[in-house]
Parts: sequence; C-alpha cells; structure tokens
Amino acid sequence: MTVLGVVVQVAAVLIGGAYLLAVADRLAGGGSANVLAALAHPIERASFLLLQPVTTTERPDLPAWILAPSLLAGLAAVGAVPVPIGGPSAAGDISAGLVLFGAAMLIVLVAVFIFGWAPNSAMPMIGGYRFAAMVLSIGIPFSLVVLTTAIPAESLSVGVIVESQSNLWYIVVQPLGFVIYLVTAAAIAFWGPFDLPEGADLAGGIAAEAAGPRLAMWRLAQAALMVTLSLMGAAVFLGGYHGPVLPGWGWTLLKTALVLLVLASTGRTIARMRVQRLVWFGWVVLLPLALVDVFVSGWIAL
Amino acid sequence: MAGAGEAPVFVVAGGGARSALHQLRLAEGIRIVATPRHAAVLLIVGRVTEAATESIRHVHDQMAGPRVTVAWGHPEPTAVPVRAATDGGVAEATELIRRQFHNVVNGVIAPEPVWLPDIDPVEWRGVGPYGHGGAGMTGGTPYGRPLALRAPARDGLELDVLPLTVGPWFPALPAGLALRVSFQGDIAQVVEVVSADLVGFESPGGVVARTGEPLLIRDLELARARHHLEWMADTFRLAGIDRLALAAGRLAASIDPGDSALVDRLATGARRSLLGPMSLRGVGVLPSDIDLSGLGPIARAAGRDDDLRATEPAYREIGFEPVTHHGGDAWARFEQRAAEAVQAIELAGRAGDRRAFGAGEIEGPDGRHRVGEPTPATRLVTHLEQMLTGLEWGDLVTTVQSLDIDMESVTVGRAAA
Repeated sequence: MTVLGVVVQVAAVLIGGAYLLAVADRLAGGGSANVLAALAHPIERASFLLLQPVTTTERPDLPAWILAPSLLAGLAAVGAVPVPIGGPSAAGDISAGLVLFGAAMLIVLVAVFIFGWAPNSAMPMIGGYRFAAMVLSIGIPFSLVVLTTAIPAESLSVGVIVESQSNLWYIVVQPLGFVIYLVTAAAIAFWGPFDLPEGADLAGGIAAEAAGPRLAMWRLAQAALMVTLSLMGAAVFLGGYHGPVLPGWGWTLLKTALVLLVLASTGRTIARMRVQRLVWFGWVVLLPLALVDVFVSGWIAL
Repeated sequence: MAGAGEAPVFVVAGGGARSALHQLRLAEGIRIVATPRHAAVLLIVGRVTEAATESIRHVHDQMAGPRVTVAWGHPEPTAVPVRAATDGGVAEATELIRRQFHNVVNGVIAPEPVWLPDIDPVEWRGVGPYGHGGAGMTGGTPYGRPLALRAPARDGLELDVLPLTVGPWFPALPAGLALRVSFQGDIAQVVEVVSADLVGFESPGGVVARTGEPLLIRDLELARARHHLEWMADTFRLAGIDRLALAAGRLAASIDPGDSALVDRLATGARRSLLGPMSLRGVGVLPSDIDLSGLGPIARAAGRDDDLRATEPAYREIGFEPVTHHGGDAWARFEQRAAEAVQAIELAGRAGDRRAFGAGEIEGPDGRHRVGEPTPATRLVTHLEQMLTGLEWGDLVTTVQSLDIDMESVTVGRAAA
C-alpha cells in the first residue's frame, strides 16, 4: 500500500468512527429519542460551528491555540497508522508500532494542556492542570497493559501481535489488561467518567473559550482519539482482523465499533470521578493491578 | 442546515425561574450550554435586578455569534435590550427561542452587535508584547492585572496564586452567586462571597408571608418532592450522568402521588452510576461549629432529627416520622433528599384535604422558614467562605450544589432578618 493509501485509510476510519461516536454519545445521553434525529445531530452541530466566526480572548497564545486541535488529531492519526486493518500486511506496520502508539498517546497530554493554556483564561487552564495530574497517574498503567500484549507475541509490531492471536484472543489470557486498557483509554481521551478537563464544574473546561471552527476541530480530534484507542484495543486484545465469514477489515471495524460503543455508553452512565480520587485510583489501584497483569502474562508466556 | 439543529442557549436565571428552567431542559430542539461561548441565544429567565445589568452585558458579549437575546417570564422589561420576550409557558418559550435561533442563523434577522466596547478592561501599562518589564521577579503588575505571585503555602506546596471572580451566572453555581476566589492550581485558597442582590424576588416576606392560612399538605408535599427532584437533576447533570438528569427532570415536571416507586428507581440508578464513591462521598462535610437547627435536609443528613412537620398534628395523623441519614456529606444529602422525595409523595397520597402550618412558620424543602428569621439559604451563605476555603474547585462546586442555595431566598432572608 502506498503512503497515500495509508493516509486515506486512516482518515476514513477516524472520521467514520468519530461520526459513529457522536451518534452513540447522543443516544447514550438521552438527548434524542429517535435514531434519525441522532444521525442528523452531529452534522447539524458541525454546520452551525463552521458558520460561526472565529473568536478570541484577551491576549491568547494564538499559535498554540490554533495548533493544539491539529496536534491532537495528528496524534490520533499517528497512533492509528501501525494497526493493520484488513490483513497481515499493513503498510504502516513498523517493527516497534506499539511503542509509537504508546508515545503518541502520552503526548496527548501536551496537546490538551496547551489547548487549556492558550486562551489565557482560568477555567481552561484549570482543566489543563487537571489533565496533567490525570495522565501522570494513569499513563504508567496504560503503557504497561499495552506493552504486556507484546509478551506472548514476542514482538512490538502490532501486525505480529494481531497475527499471533489467530487461535486465541489476548482478552482471554489478559482480561485484567483489557479492563485496565478501557479505563485508562477513556481517561487519555478525557471521556466520561474521566472528562475532568471538560467537567461541568469548569463550565466546559479546556474548551470553555473555544467556539466555531476551532471547537468543531477540537471535538473531531477528541473523537478521532477515541477511535484510535478503540482500534488499538480491538487489535491487541480482540484479535483484530481474525474472525470467520466476514473479510478481515470487516472484523477490525466491527470490533473497533464495539469497543467504541462500550466507551460511549459508560461515558454517560457512570458519574464523573473527582480528581483526587482519580489520582489515588491511578497510583493505588490501577498501577499494582497493571503490574499483576505484567507478571501473570510473563509467567504464562514462560 | 445549521438553523435546523438544536438552539444552543446560555441561561441567566433570575428569581422564580427554577421550575421553568428545568422544564425548558426537557424541551426538544434546545440545548442549554455551559458557557456563553458555545451559545447563540442568551435567555434571561425570571426576575433580575438593575444591579445585574452589567454582568448580563458581559455574558452577552462572550457569545461567539451570531447572537440573539430572548427574555422569558419578566414581570417588567429588563435593563438590557432584548430582541424578543414571552410571558407564556414552556412551549411558547421553546418556540420563540427556536424561531429566533433559526432566523439569526439564516440571516432573516440581523445578529446583535456587542453591547460593551471591545477594549482592554485595564489600560496597558507593561512593556513588550506580553507586558513584562515591571518591577520584581514576575514583573510586578504588568497590564494592570495582578500577576501570579507567591501565596503562603497552605498545604506545603508553593504555587502561584490567581485571583478571579467566578459568577454570578456561572452555570455550576447557584444563579446570582459570585465568588471571589484565589486559585492555586485548582485549589481555592481564599474564597469570598461577593454580596450583590442580582436576583429579584416576588414578595418581600418570601414563602412564609404568603402563608396566611394553613396550607394543603398535599400541595406542600408535592412541591417538596418536585424541589428535591429538580435538585437531583442538577446533581446528576453536574456529575455528567445526563440520562438520569433527564429522568429526574421529567419526573419533577409531572409529579403525581403515585410516583414514589419511580423516585425510588431513580435513587437506585444513582447508586448504580457510582455517584457516591465517584464524586459525592466525603465531600462537603460541614464544620462542627455551624448551628444545624432549621437547615432541613442538611441537618437531617447529618443525623439531626430536626423537622417542624413533627410538631404538626395533621402530619402526625398521617403517620409522619422524620427520615435521617448519617455522614453529613454530599452523598448523605443526596440520599436524604431522595428519601424525602419518596416520603413526600407518599404523604401527599395520604394527606386527603388535611392542612398544616400557617402560624408564620413552615418546613420548606430547604428547611425552616419563620417570620422574622433569616432563611436557611441566608444562613448557609454566611458560612460559605469558611466551608469552601482550601477546597479543590470540583469539590467546592459539589459542596455548594449539595447545600441547595437559592439566591432569591438569600435576598428575602436578608431583608427579613
């Protein structure tokens, strides 16, 4: 596959997934009673935002503010590149794909923080601070459970990890890892119940000052990030393209959509976690559990 | 396409607007947003005073545009130039907001210009593009603003401090309440209540002055249940559980003496959503030196058997016993109000045409109201600074929400005392 092919493929998956997420989120929140209204909702909202003028605040850090949504979207795309969609030969499948993904997901912290910092306004800035505290607490368990999937496959290449699941999906041998992955993935995408940087108590938080095209871009980037995290979850825990009857890409997309829908529905049904509790939860609960996952998986692999 | 979608509305809620606003949240085609930046329609609902004019103008100009202002339920014209107004019910208000939104987005009517001049609030006094060049390590007060300066370390961590006023129309705080906060990170190191009566009231004596003769217990208890359900809806919304917030709002809008099982189910849903362990438990415990008597559900959530209804013969006839909870935190208050809503609906079902109260006192949903005595909300506001100092911002908001402070009642109570 050419470079252009990879770009088109990643863009199509991320944008399609983002639309699905917006519809699912709408239905999960109870905002629309019928599916047709929910299907139209993201398009109506986006068309209103794109019609709005670009606003500014008093003395913003304008370059950073303009750059942050693109950075977030770019990180989501980079994270999605190493995942094979249709079959064993993915053009973007580099030998250390898992490391590339992990690095991109942790740099999300930078994109979110500068988006909060740039408008020179208090509530967005507090949202940025909060996200820093969150990612410091859950970043290590996140990286650990992602890297643990490399142990049975004996490779950091996502393609090899998916290929080695032809008989047994890793969710069976690493169920704990999958649960920790879902929890920490929701936190990295600042999605409910971990949407602290955008909580109601901050009146929109990091996005409180953003309007119009900038807000639309930010929402799209966040949704793309959710899709990337679901795509990787489906690849390394749910066997990616493996499955009967359907073509490989069909299975990949189906499993990704499933993870995405699980995240979308829990986002609206579990109460938002306090930041102090989340920091405690990351260090005292998730980190030891992630280490257990590493040791147990290592022991099984031996 | 853009005008066909939901109208994003930012609400300035004055006195007497509580139930109307909760009903508006249920309306199709309207989305109430958390910040004026995300809104196209500014809705001023209920009574606001002249003193609120300036703050409303500020809110208006923060809307990104195209913008339009609508007033709903004003006894007299407000001090700001609104584009359209209605005194009708929720359906008319919804229709008016949607039409104005549609018209302004599609260019049928001209969008409103900003109301305040777009100039720097303080004259430029610094040097260079970022206002550096003042005296001292951080450059003094360039740009006329207090820059981040070291504050005394309250918790051993030395951070810059940021002074800021939050409110009076901050959506996560009671409408009309403004707090002057010194932030260190997201910790409120110093909290001061800005005293300004921005929310208008209906009658000077408040709820007690209108109770010349005994009230129907049925009406009183259904109003109590509605009040608690609306409070629960706000609590759910603040915690990001929108589906439960809608369910609570729907129940409040159509309250009926047969509904107690539905309220019970709502409380079960709240427990399943982990509302307690995730966000409320351990937050908002009152300092021990606060006199709890007369604070209604807040006192009862701390284990105090304090309820005027227990002294009324009519209530004893229908088997009233005060409910209490233990813990005195925001979660205990949630469970207390949920239990009281269930109890109120059951009492309303049993009350027949019995009447109670009327001798200048009443046990309202928020506690004891008595002629010549400050209202519970007035008393709570005087304790806010003490309670909120040193809290993380999210906990601060949760605490204020758990106290159920109505600024209209605060104004009334100040006048009474």
